[in-house]
Amino acid sequence: MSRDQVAVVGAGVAGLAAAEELAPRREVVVLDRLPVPGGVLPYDHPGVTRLAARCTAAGVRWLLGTTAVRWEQGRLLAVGPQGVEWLDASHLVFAGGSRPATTAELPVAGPRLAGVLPAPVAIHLAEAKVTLGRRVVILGAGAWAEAAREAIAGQRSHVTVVTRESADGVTFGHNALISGWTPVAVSGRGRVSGLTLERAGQQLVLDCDAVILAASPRPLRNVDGAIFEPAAGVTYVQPAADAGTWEQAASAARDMVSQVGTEVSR
Amino acid sequence: MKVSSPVGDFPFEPLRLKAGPGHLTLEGQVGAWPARVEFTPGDIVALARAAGARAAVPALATVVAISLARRWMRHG
Repeated sequence: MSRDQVAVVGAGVAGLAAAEELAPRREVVVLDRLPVPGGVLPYDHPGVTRLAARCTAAGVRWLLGTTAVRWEQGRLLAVGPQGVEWLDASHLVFAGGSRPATTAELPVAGPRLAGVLPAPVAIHLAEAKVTLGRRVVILGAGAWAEAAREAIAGQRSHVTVVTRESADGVTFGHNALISGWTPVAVSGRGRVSGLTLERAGQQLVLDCDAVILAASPRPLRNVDGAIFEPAAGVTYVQPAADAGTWEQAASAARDMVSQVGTEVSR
Repeated sequence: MKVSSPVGDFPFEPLRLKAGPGHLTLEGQVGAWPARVEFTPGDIVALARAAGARAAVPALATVVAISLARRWMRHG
């Protein structure tokens, strides 16, 4: 295997577009823990199938269903159906997507309660026909919040959206909207039954049986040795803001890796 | 074929069907992962029940086929 290889971790739109961009000048291997490309989009989404086909045509090597575990400059530890192996790679492009802030990061105090769910988990459960609750609070107003709202649309739940900022960004349907209040604590016994909000010294407690964490997205980092920026030999393809359409996400990813690999001639 | 799961939808590509003692095994791929589905006669009957009466004939035929395959594998 060549030392000129670039490893791209993440086969969502950003990872695929980065791989396609890099393929003409470097050997590229794409890894993803899931067994198909797509990331948060379905594997059969037209944008995903188009990008994946272009990557294959450009000679990109696939290691799907494979988890990248550790990065050390010059090599990447991968675990998958092929076993455990160190891949030689002169550069790591990390396209791990984003995740909403946790309760600790927001920060929202209180015990670990059933019914308090990160948006990605809430979405997967809702898509698997699991009813999340009858009085659902969605924290946040961005893409994760919108996706969560869409996923629970058929559950006939009462949905309250809570956002610290103005309500302008809330473009999706809801039963109640509370803006300008900061969530500070969850309460309940075993399962969440209340969310405390605060504004200018005032407190408000919302009755609820599910809280979906969809605020303050941040990059998802889960490869040891490449968690904190800057990490030697790593380019992060994780736009901080909502990327918009898949075409915009792909375009942003191409820009972010445009300089990778130009310093070494093959 | 498409398989839904809490972590998303995945394609299931069937590659071969094998008869074993008391069961059929459908081998295939879920994307990059090898996967297999095992059917026992009880599963076939349950599938037929779920699908309604019209599925009873092929389901019964499959049960008979499994039984014959078992007998054939025992006695050669």
